[in-house]
Amino acid sequence: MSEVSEETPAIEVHGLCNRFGAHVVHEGLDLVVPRGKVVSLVGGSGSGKTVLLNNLIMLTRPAAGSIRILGRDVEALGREERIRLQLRLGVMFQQGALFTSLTVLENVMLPLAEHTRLPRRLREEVAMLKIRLAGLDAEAVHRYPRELSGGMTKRAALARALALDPEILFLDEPTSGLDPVSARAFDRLVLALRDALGVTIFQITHDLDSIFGASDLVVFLARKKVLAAGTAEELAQRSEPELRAYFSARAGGDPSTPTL
Amino acid sequence: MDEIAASFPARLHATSEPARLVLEGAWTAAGMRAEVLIAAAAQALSALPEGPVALEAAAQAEVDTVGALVLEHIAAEAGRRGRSLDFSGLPSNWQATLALVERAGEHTPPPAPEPFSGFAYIGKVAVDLARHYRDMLAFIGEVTLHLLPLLVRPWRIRWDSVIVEIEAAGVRAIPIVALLSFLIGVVLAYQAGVTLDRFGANVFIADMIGVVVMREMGPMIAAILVAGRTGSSYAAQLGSMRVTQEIDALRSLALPPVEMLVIPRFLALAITLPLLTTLANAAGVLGGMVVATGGFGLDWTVGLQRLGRLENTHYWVGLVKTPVFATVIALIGCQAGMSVRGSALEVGRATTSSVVQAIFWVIVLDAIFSIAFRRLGL
Repeated sequence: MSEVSEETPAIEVHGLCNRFGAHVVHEGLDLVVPRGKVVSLVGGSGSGKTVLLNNLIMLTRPAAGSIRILGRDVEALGREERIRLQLRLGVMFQQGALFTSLTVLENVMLPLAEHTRLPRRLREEVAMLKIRLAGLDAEAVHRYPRELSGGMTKRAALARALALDPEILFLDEPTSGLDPVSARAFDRLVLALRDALGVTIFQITHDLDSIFGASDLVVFLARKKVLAAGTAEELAQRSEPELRAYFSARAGGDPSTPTL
Repeated sequence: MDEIAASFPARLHATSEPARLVLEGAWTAAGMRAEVLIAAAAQALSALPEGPVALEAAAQAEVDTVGALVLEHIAAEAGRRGRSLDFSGLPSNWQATLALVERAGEHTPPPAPEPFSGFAYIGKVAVDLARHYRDMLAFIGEVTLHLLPLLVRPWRIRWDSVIVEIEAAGVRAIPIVALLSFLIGVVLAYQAGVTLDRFGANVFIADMIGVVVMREMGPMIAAILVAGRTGSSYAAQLGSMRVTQEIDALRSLALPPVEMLVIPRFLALAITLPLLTTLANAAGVLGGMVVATGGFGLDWTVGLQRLGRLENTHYWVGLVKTPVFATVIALIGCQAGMSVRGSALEVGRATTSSVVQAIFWVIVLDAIFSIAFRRLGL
């Protein structure tokens, strides 16, 4: 990593606004994500987690506010620069979004074929490496997405997100739909990727075990902005009713806690 | 990182005192020419004196897993030449990435399963076809088993669904069926008119149009349009319901999908197609008459008299085929939808195949009917 990129945060968001018609999702949202950390975005249903994620991965544009990804202002980018920035991000969608007509190996090789000048044999090896890193068995690589179990789909999707060695990895509910054993294994995988590749991980999650066990920073979305950010333990001590309601769910629900 | 990659592509150079390879630029996925680097490394190694070669990275150099993989290839290349590379001089992040790549294990993907070839392919097609018709037969059996009790107790049929399907398959198809049948009548009258006119037999245009449209063209046009319009939508609807597990949900609620979904659609088509055929007959004959009177000087009343003198058999012979066509179209469409397994891709395939099959069987059955009716002297 060069000196400059070490200093700039992975993601900087200032004064972000999103609205659909009269419905305001975000208003004046600020967020800073440091490099090389696992950051979990949490919040109740409808708090605009996916809307924010879609802004960050440049699928949608916010109504107002500035977003800097890896030090680049996404609004100011030309077409070419935008594509180059996108190639530095990896996205794993909630349902996997694997291409149904391609095998797992072909899915992972697709971005490599389109965006690198590697020969085919090396593309296969890189894809295979990412599949192994994602913890998928070698015998699964020639299967089609419909032949995969839920956990395998998640791992295959992660392998494709890792294909181009992204600097920021966006994960949309990576452990949802997984059994607790697979979910914890996935958490360990995320931490291992952070340590080994130095990749910044920004994940949406509802999984309290991931939030407490496998996050460096937790960002809580409520009241149309980032209500609180800190470690999970810090957030669990906060007195805001939204936070207390959210984190009391882990303790089996404190009857005295006000709920919304 | 890739701005750097663009301006500083990965490269290496060798120094002989001490013997080392210096790695420069961005050893990253973007823009790396792996085969060039491996060849350059091999060439550089052969120029270096005997003994171990140290690897070093320049201050600004970067690496990712792709770069590490290429370094592994370079090490393997060196090994083949009896040289050993010393990685210990590389910075810690390079070491970590190399270790990660090494830990991941075997990089060559296992061989892909062999695609079917030659004889095996013919065999596979035959088996698939046989399996398809076995499934079709099973489906017909299932529908029959559900239909028979319902015919005894018709009030248990889901008539509200039937009505909805009649509207979709019948009422909304009226404009297209009427228009196309009219045009077919026009075309037939032109072709017949040119020949009959030469013999001064213009009056027979009306006979000819009446017979051909009512016996063959009306039922065929209506059936083909319905196969394309409705059979395909049955396949797509039921297919996507399978993908979203709605069919499974019905089964789990002890609501047989055949009774809920297939039988209403089948009954709706069995009711709709004869009516649409009658409409197609009328529109086709009208189209023919317009050309016969306008283009070939046939008197309108004379034409109507000729049509009136035709035997009713022609109409019934045409109409009796339509419930059979309706059954074929509905069963093929529904079976294609119900047989979807897995992904949305399958829905498209099922839809296409249902239309092709339905039109194929409509035409085959029509030919069989024609021969049978001729033998029966109808």
